[in-house]
Amino acid sequence: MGSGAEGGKGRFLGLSRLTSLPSGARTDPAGLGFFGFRDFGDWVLITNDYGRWQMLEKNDFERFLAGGVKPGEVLHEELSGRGFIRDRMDFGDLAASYVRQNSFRFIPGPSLHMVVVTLRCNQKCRYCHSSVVDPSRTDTDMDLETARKTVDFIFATPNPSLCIEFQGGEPLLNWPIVKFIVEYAQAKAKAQKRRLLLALVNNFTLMTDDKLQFLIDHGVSICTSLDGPADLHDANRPFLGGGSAQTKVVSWVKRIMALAQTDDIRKPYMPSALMTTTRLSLARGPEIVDLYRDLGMEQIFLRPLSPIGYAKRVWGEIGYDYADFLRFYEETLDYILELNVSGRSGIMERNALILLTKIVKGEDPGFMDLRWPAGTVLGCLAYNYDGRIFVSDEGRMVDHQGDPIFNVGTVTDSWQDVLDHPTSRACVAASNLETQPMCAQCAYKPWCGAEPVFHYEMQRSIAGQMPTSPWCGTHMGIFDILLKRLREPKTRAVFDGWLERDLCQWQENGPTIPGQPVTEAAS
Amino acid sequence: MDRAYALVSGDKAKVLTVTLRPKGARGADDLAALKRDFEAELAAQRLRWAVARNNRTVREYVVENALALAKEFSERAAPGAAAPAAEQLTADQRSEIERLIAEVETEISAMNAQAKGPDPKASALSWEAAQKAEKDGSSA
Ligand code: SF4
Repeated sequence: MGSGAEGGKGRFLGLSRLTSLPSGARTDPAGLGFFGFRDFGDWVLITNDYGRWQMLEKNDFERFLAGGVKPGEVLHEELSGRGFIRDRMDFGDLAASYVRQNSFRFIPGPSLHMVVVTLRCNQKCRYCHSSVVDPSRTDTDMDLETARKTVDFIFATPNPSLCIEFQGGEPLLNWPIVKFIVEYAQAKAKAQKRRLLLALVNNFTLMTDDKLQFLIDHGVSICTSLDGPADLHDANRPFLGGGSAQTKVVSWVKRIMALAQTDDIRKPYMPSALMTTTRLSLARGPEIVDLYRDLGMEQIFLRPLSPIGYAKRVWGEIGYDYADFLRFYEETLDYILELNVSGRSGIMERNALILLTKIVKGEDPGFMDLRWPAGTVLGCLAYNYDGRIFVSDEGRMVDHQGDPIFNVGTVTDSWQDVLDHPTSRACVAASNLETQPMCAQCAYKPWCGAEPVFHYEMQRSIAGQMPTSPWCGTHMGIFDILLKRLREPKTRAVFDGWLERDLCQWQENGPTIPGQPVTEAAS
Repeated sequence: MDRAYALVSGDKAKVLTVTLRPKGARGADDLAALKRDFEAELAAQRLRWAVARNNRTVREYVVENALALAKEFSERAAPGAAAPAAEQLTADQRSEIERLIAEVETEISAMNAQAKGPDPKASALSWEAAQKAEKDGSSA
């Protein structure tokens, strides 16, 4: 059995993805605080519930297991300070650390509200096109009444800080409703003295100067998809209007970046881009990074494709094994790190930033996809054009394929009804990692998360079975890759620089809109 | 991980016997490797179980502390944040919303009244042509 963590290098062949104890190790558990461990060969990572961690040389780990690290040793001090020695715990400090790490667990109600203002789209993306409809199908546009009720529902949820994210389809195809929601939500935020963030996800093919001006004036941050060089992007995301969709994206990104550079107020609204990794991307990591660099983007988000909704149906054409993604991730991250080390670029990778915010800073980065209980309902909700509410946007995509299981109500229901819905409760109960046999013991549990919709689609169980879950395999592999680089002084220095520069402005807790009320709790 | 069928027999209070039947493996080496892996996993589980049992009250106590701390923190930071403030739109805000609704209604009916509708048309046009059409429309 390979006892060491294998990172992105391939499959795990042991009985579990967890690593085993060093062979013949003596153990004396009496004085040990609760911990999870992961064997990396020469060294071992230990972590605990409070998000504290330590990398131990193999022989120190064996001494620790046998109760052989004695008071007076520097190592004993370090382990005690981090809550690994049972009779030397500072409960107040550990509790504070737990709260900082898991702040989302103590804030009531969802913060991220994804509003699908239309299902229409003018692109035919290979991983999504059946989740949207033809541009002529105006019957899938959200109407004014539904838009108003949607905003009313959002403002009846209790989180003091709200983020409304416009999605589609292509939201610019129903522009009057986008405008209405922006202005109506801002009026309500003012009246209720609540913090409001607004974000628009669009493909830029329908952007105009007037629309851009409105978005800037109202502090709406703009996000797009950019999968890579033109041939790759256009193969993934064909444009029905003819011509290259990538050229349009690049052109608008350049324009908005130029605007942002000359204006401090606009700076926080620099466009961000999401990259989806398909099979076509796997050999092209550095090229994709170079494109983002050339555009002056501060970050790239190397996102794996999820086999959810339509993507599941075409997985055979565009999907891949999670080990292939991990290889891609590792090679591309190393390229990015090399650019940073050599001073050629300061570009950051967002998966790494999210996880490093948890690991190094001990803070919650506000990222929905990596928390437990899952972000579904407790952290986010998705609103379909017809007013139906889903536990997440992925849940809505499952509905579009004919399975309404993740529908938890409509905008005419009360927040309490949605929260009490059996599906909402099931998603929360099933996504507690303490009840997952493998996760409960995993060294990455304090920083990991759960994905009920993914596991429903892949394994027909909202709880999932982690030993065979590609979701677990992907995340465990990314953790392994990052932890190894955290141990290297050169790459650790790059990571520290990223954390210093990055303001952790995710969509869910991003920049504050000028002139908008900000509660202390949210600032 | 999905390598063997396991049969557990015996008396839980006394001795349990675990019989493993490999799913794919054949030779004696594979069987020996499976046995080794199982024993290593058993040793790790024994330790994890003991550590979990010894620390149960400590972990519960820290989480209780965390709950109290978080409550205190959120009440200090945003009193009453648990319930959204009752919405009190001023007369000005109300009339602003009415104006907004009227404006959007006009925009939508104008959009729907057009035979082809601006959106399908825009999506079929090239980006540059769509821009020009939008500009002409807005300056008309
Ligand atoms: S899902 Fe996360 S916590 Fe659970 S076993 Fe996998 S990596 Fe560990």
